[in-house]
Amino acid sequence: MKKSNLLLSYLLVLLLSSTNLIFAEDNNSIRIMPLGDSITYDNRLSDIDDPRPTSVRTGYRSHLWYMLQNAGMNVDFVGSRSAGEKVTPPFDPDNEGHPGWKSFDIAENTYGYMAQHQPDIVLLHIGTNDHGTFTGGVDDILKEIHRYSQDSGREIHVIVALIIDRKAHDFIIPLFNDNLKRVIASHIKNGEKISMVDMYHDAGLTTKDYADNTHPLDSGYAKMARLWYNEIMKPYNPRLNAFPYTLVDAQYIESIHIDQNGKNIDIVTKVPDAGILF
Amino acid sequence: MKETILILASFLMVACGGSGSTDENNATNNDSSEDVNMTQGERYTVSKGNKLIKTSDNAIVRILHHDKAKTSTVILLEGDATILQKP
Repeated sequence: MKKSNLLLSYLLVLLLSSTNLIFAEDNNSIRIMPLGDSITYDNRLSDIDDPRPTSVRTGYRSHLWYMLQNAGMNVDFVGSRSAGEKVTPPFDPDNEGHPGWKSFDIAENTYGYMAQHQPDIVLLHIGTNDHGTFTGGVDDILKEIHRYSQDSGREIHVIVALIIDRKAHDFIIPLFNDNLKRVIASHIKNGEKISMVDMYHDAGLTTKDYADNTHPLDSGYAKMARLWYNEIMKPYNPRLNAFPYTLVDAQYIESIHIDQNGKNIDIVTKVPDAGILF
Repeated sequence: MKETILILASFLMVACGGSGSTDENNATNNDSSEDVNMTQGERYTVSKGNKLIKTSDNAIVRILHHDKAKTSTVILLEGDATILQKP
């Protein structure tokens, strides 16, 4: 082996070692699993003809990583897939984003993902490929996560997103999201540690934030990351989240009084642009 | 005879909607598809399927809920809002 090749190999090993050091597993870190489809993985329709290397695909994940790092959070993104390992600044590219998958596809594998990667927090954005209003697949995903939690004794906080619209408004998606709210409410009522982010309304995506009719551009992903970040950083309030009907996002709430038993709730809240669905 | 007719008429008037004033407006028992424009300070009972939307830039409401109740009570504190009936 030539000296130059030897040096190159040495530098490569050094580089890989340092990368591993940055994202090495840490027992004290919060394990976060981005779970979903192409919007989690960062796949675009244009990637079929002119594929971007997976090493530069980041979706919302890189933005979220940077926000959490800036906040001094010790986090570890987990999942069986990897995308975005060559972007700078570097971030943890591990994820569980599966382009083209429907919610039922994810549900079939959810228990295994939980067992293998043992997340503390799951960020779930799924349903775009379902092309319908039926939310049974998401229900199954939440059931599988709960089943794993029961079996393992591991508490997992699932943050479920009401999914983003398409660039050209898709009337199906608000109907899907309305049904999704009911699914989320039923799981919260069941005592599961679940909260909701309204990506559809609150992310604030405009037509300029889309790369194609389905997938955001970097600007859109940055907006999504902000909502995930806010929810991760917010103290989890099980009694508030148990409020079964309105699911008013905490950002709108001005005051809240919950009695000791968590049975009587008195909330003063601004009315969100999307309204309050009881 | 005239007295009997007057008494009967009085009963009929009450039965046809002589208004007993109530403290709470019930948005859910309204069978019509009309939406309910809220008045500040009034209490409205809402149930699953009702939707509250704001009709001014800012609207603030108080929501009172008991875990075992199937309904919640909503009071409009600021702004304007409407309760949409079930679809």
